[in-house]
Amino acid sequence: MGCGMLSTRAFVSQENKDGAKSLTRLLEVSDLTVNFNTDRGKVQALDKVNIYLDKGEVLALVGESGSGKTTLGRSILNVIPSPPGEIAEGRILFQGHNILGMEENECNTMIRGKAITLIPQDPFGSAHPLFTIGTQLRDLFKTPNRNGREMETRMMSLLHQLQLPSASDLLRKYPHELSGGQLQRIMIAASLLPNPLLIIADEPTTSLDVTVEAQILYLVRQLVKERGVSVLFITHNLAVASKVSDRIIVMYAGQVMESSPTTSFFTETAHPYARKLLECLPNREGEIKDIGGMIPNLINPPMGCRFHPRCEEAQPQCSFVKPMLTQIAPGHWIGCHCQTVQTRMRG
Amino acid sequence: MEKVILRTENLKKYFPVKRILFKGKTNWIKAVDGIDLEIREGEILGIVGESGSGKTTLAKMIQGIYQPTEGAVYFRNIDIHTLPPQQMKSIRREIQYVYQNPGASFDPWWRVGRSLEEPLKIHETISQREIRKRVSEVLNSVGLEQDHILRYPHEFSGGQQRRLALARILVLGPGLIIFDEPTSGLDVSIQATILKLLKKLRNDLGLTYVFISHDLEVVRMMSNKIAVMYLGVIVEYGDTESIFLHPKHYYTQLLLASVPRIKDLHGEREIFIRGDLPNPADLPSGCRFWPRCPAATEICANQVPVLKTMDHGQKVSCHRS
Repeated sequence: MGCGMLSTRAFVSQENKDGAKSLTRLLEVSDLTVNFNTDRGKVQALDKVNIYLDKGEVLALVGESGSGKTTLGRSILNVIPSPPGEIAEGRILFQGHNILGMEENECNTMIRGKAITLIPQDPFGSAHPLFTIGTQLRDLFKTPNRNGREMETRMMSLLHQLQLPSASDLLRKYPHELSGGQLQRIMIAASLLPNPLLIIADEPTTSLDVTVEAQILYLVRQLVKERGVSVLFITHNLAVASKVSDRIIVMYAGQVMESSPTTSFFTETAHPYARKLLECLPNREGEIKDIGGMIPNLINPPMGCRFHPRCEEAQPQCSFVKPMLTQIAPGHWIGCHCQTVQTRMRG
Repeated sequence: MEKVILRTENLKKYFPVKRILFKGKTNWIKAVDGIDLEIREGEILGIVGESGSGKTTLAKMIQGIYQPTEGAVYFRNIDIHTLPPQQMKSIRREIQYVYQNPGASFDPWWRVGRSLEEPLKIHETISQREIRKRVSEVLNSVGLEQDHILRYPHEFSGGQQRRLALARILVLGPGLIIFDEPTSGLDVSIQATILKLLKKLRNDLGLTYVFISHDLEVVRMMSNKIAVMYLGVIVEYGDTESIFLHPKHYYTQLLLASVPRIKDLHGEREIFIRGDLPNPADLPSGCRFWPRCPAATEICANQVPVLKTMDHGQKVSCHRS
């Protein structure tokens, strides 16, 4: 594949042309722009974001707070509160249907909690404190056309797979009687029970201990492989992303900076921001590096590439032209003026 | 070798569990159960362990917030828990504690300037002008602007709130600072900035740190010595590098293997600790780790292991290593 300049939208559709791939495309977000109107001004949370997700793929969405990861996840479920939120531009195609154009009750019956489910960041905040775990899980399959007994066995085998001991006791307990790791596993069970096509996991291991985190990451990976579910895994931890994902997208201040298969992301990190982010991870050498500067205020974001005020390699054009996503190697796309020039010169 | 600044001797803290009506004896949660530690001037001691391992309880006894059930804490060879209140006040000034959530430890109705002046008003009898001067010096050293003192706590970002918490402590010129999860909830880039600042302050001001964290990579980067805790006891203790390179206790080994690292893509090695932390009110017999330990044998379930010194100078409490 060549390394030419392509329009932003081409990022989504170009990959689509690889014959068989288009059959497996599950989700396409193109030119998504989301603003929040606040008293202080318009917060431009997402700026023409393009991502795609194939069936059975685990895509890690990595970025710092304020990069728009969660807003993107919420947009896919079409639950951006409006007002203050406003989807200014773009569409989200899920199996060819535009989620953003759907009616509210269409979303509720088809999408939310059905075809797309969510694993929340804080399990304690998401489970109802006054109902037992069993009641809450069984509520998920209270639909007329489903066989209760069959679902019950499915639920029990799922809990068993999630390594939850004495499941029948557990179902009689209330959320506060469980540890964080146990409740998060219940949340994973809840997200898998409706047989979704896509799971949005929003920082599912952030509030957990490393030991529990390792268990959960392993389970997510295993269940996804078994069932062929796609996962959008939102995290700020690159090491977690490396463990769980097939592909990584790095976001910064509402823009996509880099998109790459996980393996080549770590060996050939191309975007200056992604490289800085990797350097920030605690390392053996003992010398601590940081990015310098602050995350921009999205009410008045920097023109052009939003990372340019903190970028050491910034060129004059970076401050007024937004770089387009450009392919530098098969499947490896970056949005950066300087890198593209360098790669072209190397080529 | 530097002088020992802090020493704990067989330190224990048991919390009573509420007795149910008509039901026999009180149960105890042994949050910290016999800990001997030694910290020298200028050292950074890292304490690692899962939640519920007793890290915070230990730190609170060191600072004198909790009265130990048994044992003693010696700060510069003074047993701090037997001191009369007036002298305790001066020790409190020397040993400072940075809370996990600094945003919540500032009064939301006070401008931060007032919060920063408060400790000086309690501990010193100096003029208002002198107080202002000290606050502005400290603000400078933690990298905040002078006009920040007019703002309210909620107007600061997570990273800035950590700096503020640090400033409030540094005005008193403490000798030992205890950090309870100083970077949890921060982005990696901001975490790096804060850790850099902590190291710089230690070198400039000659401080001693106790660094509590569950993030092993952070602890490795920051500390000289590490104590690994599991359910209220130290299972391994020694120099940072030797613990990371030659972990002896099975718990330490598994804890290290659990940390997600970029090197092993997709986690081909699936090593992790099975099961959950046992109920602290009903501890396993013998070695506390045996029900989850891959190498446990009969002796582990029957006999409590003691901390013994191994090669590389590490202390390990395990029958099998």
